[in-house]
Amino acid sequence: MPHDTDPFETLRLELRRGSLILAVLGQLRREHYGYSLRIALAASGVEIDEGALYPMLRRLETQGLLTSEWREEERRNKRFYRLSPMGADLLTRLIAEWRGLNKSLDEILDGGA
Amino acid sequence: MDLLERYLGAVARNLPERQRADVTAELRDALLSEVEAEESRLGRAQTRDEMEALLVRFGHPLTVSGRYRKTQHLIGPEVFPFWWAGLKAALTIVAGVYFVLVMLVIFSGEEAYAVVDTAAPSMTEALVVTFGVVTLVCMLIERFGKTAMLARWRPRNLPPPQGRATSRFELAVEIGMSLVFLLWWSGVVQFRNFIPGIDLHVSLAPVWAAWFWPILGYGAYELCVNLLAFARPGLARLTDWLYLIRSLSAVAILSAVYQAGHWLVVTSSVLPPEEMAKASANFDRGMRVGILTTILIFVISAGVSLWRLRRRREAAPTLSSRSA
Repeated sequence: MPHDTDPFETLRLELRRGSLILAVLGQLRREHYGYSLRIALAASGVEIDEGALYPMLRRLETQGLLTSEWREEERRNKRFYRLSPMGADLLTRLIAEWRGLNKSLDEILDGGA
Repeated sequence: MDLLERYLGAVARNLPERQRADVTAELRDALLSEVEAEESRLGRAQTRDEMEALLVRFGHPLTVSGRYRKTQHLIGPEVFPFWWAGLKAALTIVAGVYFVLVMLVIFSGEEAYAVVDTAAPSMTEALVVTFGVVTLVCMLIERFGKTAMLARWRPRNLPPPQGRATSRFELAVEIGMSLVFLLWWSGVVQFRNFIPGIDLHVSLAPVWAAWFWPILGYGAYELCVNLLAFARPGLARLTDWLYLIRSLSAVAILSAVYQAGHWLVVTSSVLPPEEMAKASANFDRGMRVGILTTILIFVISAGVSLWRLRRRREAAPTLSSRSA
């Protein structure tokens, strides 16, 4: 039975899902509030749903990878996030993992070309 | 802004209490930032339709609030295969038990129907409850993070590849039959022993009472062996041994009962004594054939168990023979 969903779209989303956390952690080496983070990610070519971003930030904070504080900016209270020391350490390890995986994938994909 | 407040209210209703105010404040800021950015791009205030489109893009209130919950699914991908296998096994047993009950009703008539109707819930109820129980167990395993417990397994417990294994449904039917037999033999349920057309009452002769406990023990043993074969198909060699013992026990018990020569007591309030004697002899003749046939079946079954055991021993490859 044919499936309604485009397989490329499903696989593309699956591929991107794992890398979103890495992008968010990487971007939060500098302080951001939710909206500015989303804009910064979009400017780097990483689009993320607003409805998914905020719960993700909360989860990462619960895991001790981010710290946050409420502060007034542009006449409104905003919650600012930043990478915690534990998050910074984890990000270093994740980057090494990502680069290793990327290198292996490049070898496989280029070898098959 | 009425739409924004309605949206935030809908999200807040499904958020955990202690996060509610904090999360709502953050989402309000996020949405207002979006609105401001859009209005600055358009050079005018957003219309109601544009505001609605923005909220739809942000996500359904239940989806957004659901993402803040610790539990994101009832049964995750790790537990799912075990839930599915457990569900199939449990439903097969229920179907097997009901298959036996239906056969009993068909062959034993209204009395059996009355017993089954009062003692057993409807099949739909049983299936729904089974589904619920299996799902609840898997949900608790998922909730309390015991998934590693499910994934613990040993290759040696897998069923052997050679030979046709007894089907799960066949085993479930045998389990159902054993259960019904035990209930009948221990007197919990009773079936019709009256033949209305010729006004005959048929009951078991005293020889059966003398063998009550061995036969009860045999029934319980058979039930346990079938349950073991159903739950642990990897223990094929052990279950073959247990089936061999089962068959030999049945042959021993039936051979002893056969010595009695009289197995059924037939009574009637209308038949004359000579007719009664003839009817009694006919029933005993039928029982003689039945007992002898059953003994023969169990002898064959013991032979099959022995043959399987021998074949398993010959077929089992050792690491040294494979590498040689």
